[in-house]
Amino acid sequence: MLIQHSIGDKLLPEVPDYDIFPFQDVDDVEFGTIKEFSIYGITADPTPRRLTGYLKKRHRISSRKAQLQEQVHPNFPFSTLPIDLGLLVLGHLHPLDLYQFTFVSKLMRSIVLSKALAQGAWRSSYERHPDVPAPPPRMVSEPRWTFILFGPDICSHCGDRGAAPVFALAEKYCWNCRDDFAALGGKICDYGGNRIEGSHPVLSLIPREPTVTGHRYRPSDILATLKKVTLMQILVNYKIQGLAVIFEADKQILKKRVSVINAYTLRAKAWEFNLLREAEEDRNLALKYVCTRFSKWLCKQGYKPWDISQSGLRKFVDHYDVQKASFPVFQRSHQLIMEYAIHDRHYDSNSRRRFLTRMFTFYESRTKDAWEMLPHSSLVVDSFLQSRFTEDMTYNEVEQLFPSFIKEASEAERANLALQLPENLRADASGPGAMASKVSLATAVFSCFSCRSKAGDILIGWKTICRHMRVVRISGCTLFRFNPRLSAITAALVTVSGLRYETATVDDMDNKNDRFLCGECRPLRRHRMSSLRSYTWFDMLHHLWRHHRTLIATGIVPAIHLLSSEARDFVVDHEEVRFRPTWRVWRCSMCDEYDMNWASYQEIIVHSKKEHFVEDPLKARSIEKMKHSPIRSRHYDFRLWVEPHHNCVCLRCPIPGRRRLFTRSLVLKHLETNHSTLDPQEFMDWTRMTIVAATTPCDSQSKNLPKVKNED
Amino acid sequence: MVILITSDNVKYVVEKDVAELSVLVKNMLEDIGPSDEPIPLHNVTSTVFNKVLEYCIYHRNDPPPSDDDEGCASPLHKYLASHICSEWDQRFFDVDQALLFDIILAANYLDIKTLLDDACKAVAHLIQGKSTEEIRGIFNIVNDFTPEEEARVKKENVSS
Repeated sequence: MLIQHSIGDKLLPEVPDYDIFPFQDVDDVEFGTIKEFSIYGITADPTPRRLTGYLKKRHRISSRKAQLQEQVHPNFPFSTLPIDLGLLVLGHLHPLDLYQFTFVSKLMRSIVLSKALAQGAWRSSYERHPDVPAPPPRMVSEPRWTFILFGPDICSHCGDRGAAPVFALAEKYCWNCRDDFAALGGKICDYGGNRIEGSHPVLSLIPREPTVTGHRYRPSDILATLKKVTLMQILVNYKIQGLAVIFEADKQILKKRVSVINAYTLRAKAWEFNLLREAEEDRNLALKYVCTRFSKWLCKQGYKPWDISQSGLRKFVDHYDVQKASFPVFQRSHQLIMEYAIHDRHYDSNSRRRFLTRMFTFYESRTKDAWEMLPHSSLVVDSFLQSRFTEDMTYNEVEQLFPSFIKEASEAERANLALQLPENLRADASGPGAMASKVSLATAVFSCFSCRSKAGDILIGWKTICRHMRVVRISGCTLFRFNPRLSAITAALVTVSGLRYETATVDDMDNKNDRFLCGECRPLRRHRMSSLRSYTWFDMLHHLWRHHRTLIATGIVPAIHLLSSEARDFVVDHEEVRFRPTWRVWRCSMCDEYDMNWASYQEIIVHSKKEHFVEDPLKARSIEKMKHSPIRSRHYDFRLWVEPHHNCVCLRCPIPGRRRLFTRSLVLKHLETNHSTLDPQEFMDWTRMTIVAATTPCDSQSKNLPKVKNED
Repeated sequence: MVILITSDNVKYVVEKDVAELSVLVKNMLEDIGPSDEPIPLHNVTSTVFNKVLEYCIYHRNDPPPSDDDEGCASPLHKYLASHICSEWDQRFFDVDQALLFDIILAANYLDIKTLLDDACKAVAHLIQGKSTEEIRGIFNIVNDFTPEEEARVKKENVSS
């Protein structure tokens, strides 16, 4: 089933779509071809047609933005301008505009395409726009080159659509003609039937087009050059006087000329490649935009979000090359959208399951605090089909019943987990709601027994369990067991922090934001100084489980040092929180919007284009990739010097985050050199802080911390 | 001081360095030598000359355009010269298009290269990013292609 190339025809006057969609020239609509159906629906590479469209769009948008503030006075008497002055004006145009100008009238066309008259204008145009690859000198005229760059994708040989430029030959060839007229080097044979390979001397005398699979040459050029070179060589072999020298000189000149053409070709190819990449990104953005709008209108027509297949919608938009996301286009193509994107509600068991899963996915992505509420979809869907679903139930009834069931299933699952907790932790829980809330206790530590992933070792809180259920395995982990040893360590952490382990929740511990030092680790010695790493309570638990498991297995609670409040504040000031995904490392150089919250590459490109009107955001100029790639740990590895004991802070240093810890002698030296304080006073210029506030168990106080020496 | 008379008989007394921005006036001054004789400007009206004078007074201290601009200037130099236009210049050329047309003719007649260049740039700016139809509308050009011819022209290869 095929429809017109462009469903919505005129694009320019409608502002909302204008800067989103690949530009479809009003004049070029009739040349639009109907694409053949692909079973994949979405083409991997944009067609050359899209490249031209994208180019025009980009150029026109930038020009129009520049002209937005200006008054438009029609009727400039251009035709009455003397030809030399008119050409002077045309010399300032972009080559694309100059090419467009050839279609204005017959007179203008004859002037602009006249080599004698307009060659200067074309040259000026290329010189004034170095972003457009210039034609190789003495090979092709500027108008012809502009046609290759910006003209319609019509094959030079057969006239079919879908041709791609071959810059080295200044031609455009379609897929069928390309191998005949621009063949790959290894596929051309000489008169004796031998293949002409890459090292053949003739190949260096002919311009070549670099491609992924090799270099392309014009076969007729190769054969003609081969004939000439062979003839000349025969004559040279007959020792005709002076011919060898002339032949060699001629070859050198030819090689030099060809190398210039090859350099220009390479530049044009790089330009084309970059544009293709940008066109593809642009196309993807446009597809996303169309799909979002069409989904919205489908929902307004009464379809539920779980009835709409986003992949089907995208396939439709791509296959029919939809150029506008307007409502008339939506109405016109409604029938097709239904075929592609709306799921039929068949009443077999598989489609029921798929329907419920899609509905669950919708709730998962749209509902606020979905993690808190939703376990794995298969868990909910299975139990719904087993417990609530009856064969005479309609889809509408399922839609009404399912959301409340998700909530109930979630609560029941939490209550089931809470039942595993020891008596002392769930003593005061009376109803199922109170029981379910016990899962969020800090001491309610669970481990996953369904998978062997390390991520399933320590699971604290319902949110973490839900995340583990869905992230680690496709089918979801369902077997969770209470971990009494880890719970005992957590209880020690909670107690040393000053909270009650029976009631302290995960949020309580997070809000307290204490920092700990491991009492079992040997301090790291470097540059004659020893240091220990500080941890949050959750990281401390991970560290102990990972590095001191043998100790835990014997039933001993490892030693843990709690930092004092002032030391905690100092550490927090010096930590860098980085728990962002690896791809969110981009920020905008032109504003501070993303300074604190880095974004992904796509987001920052869109931001740069929309907010700062940068057409081609460049790395290190408009956008910036942050130096440190994100790490898995939630906090920067901050270490405290424990030997010699660094516990003095300079109060003269203005920014708390930049302050450092010193020994007493070092802080006095620092004050003298950096702040010119010759007689520093304690509490005025510097202060001493207590690093460790408490240790658990109490008898292990000086296990790995050396005694503080009094330097006074 | 130099006395200049426009085609509608309006007399202007202009400082010599301003008047000499025009190559035409400069050559005439060199030809006639030191004298108080007024110089007639046959092809320039007072309305247009007012604008030209305004431009010349503003740009009197600019370095003169060198010959490099014509021939061996680097592409980057040309690119910068063609794209950088001051805010004053933008406001100066935001005029009625008939006047802009006259300024081009006057700049050509008076041989003021920078003014001619900037005025051409201003006109080129009007064309930039426009479709064929829009260009026809702006410049009042009649489309003398038949629809068949237009389709053929767009399809046909531009010959080398």
